[in-house]
Amino acid sequence: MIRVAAVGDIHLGPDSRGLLRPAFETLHRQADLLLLAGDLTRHGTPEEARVVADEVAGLPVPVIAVLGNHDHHAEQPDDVTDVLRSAGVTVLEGEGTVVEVDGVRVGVAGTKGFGGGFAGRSGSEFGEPEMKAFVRHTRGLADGLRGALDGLAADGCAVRIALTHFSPVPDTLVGEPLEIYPFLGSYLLAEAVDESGADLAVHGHAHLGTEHGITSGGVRVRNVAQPVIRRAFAVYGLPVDGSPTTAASAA
Amino acid sequence: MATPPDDGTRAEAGAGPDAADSAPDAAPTGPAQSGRSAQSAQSGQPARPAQPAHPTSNTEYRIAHLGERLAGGDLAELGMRIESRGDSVHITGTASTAHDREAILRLAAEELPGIAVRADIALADVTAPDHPEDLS
Repeated sequence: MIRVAAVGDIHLGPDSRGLLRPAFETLHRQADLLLLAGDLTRHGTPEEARVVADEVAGLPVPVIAVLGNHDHHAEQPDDVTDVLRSAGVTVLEGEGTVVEVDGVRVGVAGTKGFGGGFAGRSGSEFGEPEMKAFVRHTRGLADGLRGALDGLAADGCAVRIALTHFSPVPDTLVGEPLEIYPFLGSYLLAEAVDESGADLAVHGHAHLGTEHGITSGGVRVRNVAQPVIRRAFAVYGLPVDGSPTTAASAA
Repeated sequence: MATPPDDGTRAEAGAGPDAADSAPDAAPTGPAQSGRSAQSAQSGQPARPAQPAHPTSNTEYRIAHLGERLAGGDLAELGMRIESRGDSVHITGTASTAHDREAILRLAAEELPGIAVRADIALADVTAPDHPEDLS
């Protein structure tokens, strides 16, 4: 069993320094890795990123993150990424990373993701340049996720996890106003997950949503936004059957 | 829907009908006194860049302005659900800290003077979980 700890939307700033550290220091007893599902800061400044970095620095488990929309607000995502990486955090955008847990190769593919809506109720690349750019941004990030998951399969990972900030499914948005679903996620992310295959998809972003969901291809989805899980992090146990997951076996 | 808090976090901000009786300054204000000053000395929140030429007394728009102010200020708070309920406004969500919750209530009082604001704002729980979920 691979034990995956995950949390998103911690929104740390200087006044919340040290808030999560006591809980994170228990991670070695209950998890093999920690996933951070974006919105780690409030405004996406390097100063706020330093608070996040201090919170996770030196933990005895690998820490893997994606950025969220808040982490882009100050338009310094590269600086935020650099600060997190300097503390040993693996920050993903359209790429994957492999962690060895008791000889098992565990792959995590990550992207921030973006909005656009869900099948039958989604935006299209049509009309004004702004609208086309909106949908193309999501499509590009979803393609990056697909490529990263494919790469992890080729790399022999027995367990693969998709880590995003925006949601791949509407299931985990239940509780949010329906009107804002298109700003909370996109089916393009789920399509990438289902086509490449994964054992689990983890996201944040929807504070008023629901923890549990599933893609139409059968991949379990968990919304780990901290207001949803109501803990410092959630832990999911993933079974290992020894064979790399494929789109068919994941479903 | 945010889970209703079970830790005694129900709070009120602004002046409801009862409070208005004992707090004259919180009585309903007209359009020119909608509380949308250029800079709030109390909150330290910067004003939105474009002050509307005609400040509104319409509750629906004032709720929208509160949402914009929560998002655009120091709090960067986009996770509150703010809805009209009869003659009052209901705010639901989870705040990171008690300080943030106080700031949200203060901004609500500034933005919605004369309107009863009922808030169910829980505080984020930062304790470690006591059990995993096994996905077999």
